[in-house]
Amino acid sequence: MKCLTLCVPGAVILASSLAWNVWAESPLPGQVDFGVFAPPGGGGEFVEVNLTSSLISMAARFVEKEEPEVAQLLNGVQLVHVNVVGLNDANRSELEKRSEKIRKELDGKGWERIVSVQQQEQNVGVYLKTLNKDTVQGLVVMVMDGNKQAVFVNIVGDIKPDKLAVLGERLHIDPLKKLGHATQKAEEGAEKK
Amino acid sequence: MQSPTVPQKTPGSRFHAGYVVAAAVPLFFLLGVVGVTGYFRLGSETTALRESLMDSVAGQWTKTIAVHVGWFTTSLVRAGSRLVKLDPEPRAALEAVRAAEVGVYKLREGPVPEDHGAILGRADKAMARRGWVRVVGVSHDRELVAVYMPRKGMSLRNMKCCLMVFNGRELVVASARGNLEPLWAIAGTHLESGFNRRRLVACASLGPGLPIPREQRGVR
Repeated sequence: MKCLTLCVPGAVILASSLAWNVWAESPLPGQVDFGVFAPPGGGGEFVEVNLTSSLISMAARFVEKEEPEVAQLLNGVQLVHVNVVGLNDANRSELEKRSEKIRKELDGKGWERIVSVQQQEQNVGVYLKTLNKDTVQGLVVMVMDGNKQAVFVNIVGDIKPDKLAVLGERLHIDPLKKLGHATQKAEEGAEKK
Repeated sequence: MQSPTVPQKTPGSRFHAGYVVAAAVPLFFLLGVVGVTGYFRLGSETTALRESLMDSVAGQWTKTIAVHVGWFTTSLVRAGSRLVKLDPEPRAALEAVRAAEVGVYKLREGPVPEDHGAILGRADKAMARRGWVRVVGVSHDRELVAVYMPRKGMSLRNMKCCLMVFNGRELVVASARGNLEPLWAIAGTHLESGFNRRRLVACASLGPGLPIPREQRGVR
């Protein structure tokens, strides 16, 4: 009996701590797992940025006095994940396959494809996950830029595609800044069509 | 009249004091040695990062330098700096740093490693075991840069980061811990003064009669 009175609370504590860990590790609603990227051989380009909410909110605190609208934008973001991988013969087909797989997954999980451009060797896809009409939960941008590079971006939180450049500028993420401008151009092009 | 009583030292207490002194002297010596050698020993996260890279790269490594400045030294520097007249910016920088360390190592022999993916993978695992996560990873040509931060418990008051830079032959590992609040306050003051200055100039451009202080006239 004594053993039982000790074991039951112990089991409850263990189970609740496991449940807490599972909950803590579970992905956020707008989060997408791209998998692990490795730098390409032969000294190709590789950039990976992974900013969590604590870092982003710190950045927001730095600008909240002078630029409250930027601070508001940053406060709405929970995670920024950027991957730029230089393409070569060894990784091109794998990355193309991976990009295709992610696109299918996003289509299947209710992500809305808002921009899709395929011209010459460029392939751009911008996806948005929304909770309702006004709340954005996440954004995914994928670019296969011919023989140059593959870009995978996932931003979790309330972010509109037209704010990507501002976010890249404020968080000093150059690829995001460039991508923001490219996405804007792609969006404008798609609207004209 | 009673004479004042003088406490008599018993042989036992003298014996006890002797023990205390005998224990204290080597203890202080030991603490001194640990303190001094501590300046040349890197912390656990930086060491883990260094070890992870050295395990991934075959070859013989030599240490060029390893320096560690902990809370005691930074506290002394902060206390000392209060006696000296300093501008707010360098003072804020001194107030911000709580600990810092850097180690530089050279790969003397062996081929230049090109598999940066394996290096990053091993470093990620080593740091993840300590609750750290990679926030930046950059690889280009022979150069590899990785920056790690704790997964949890980050705030302006308690900011930590650990970084590794490797160019194929030379490895630099460094880490720093600080309280960014003084720097943030300084940044805030500058932003505010910049904001006020811009507002003043904007007012002046709207109303030509508004006087502008001499030091603000050239600013736009």
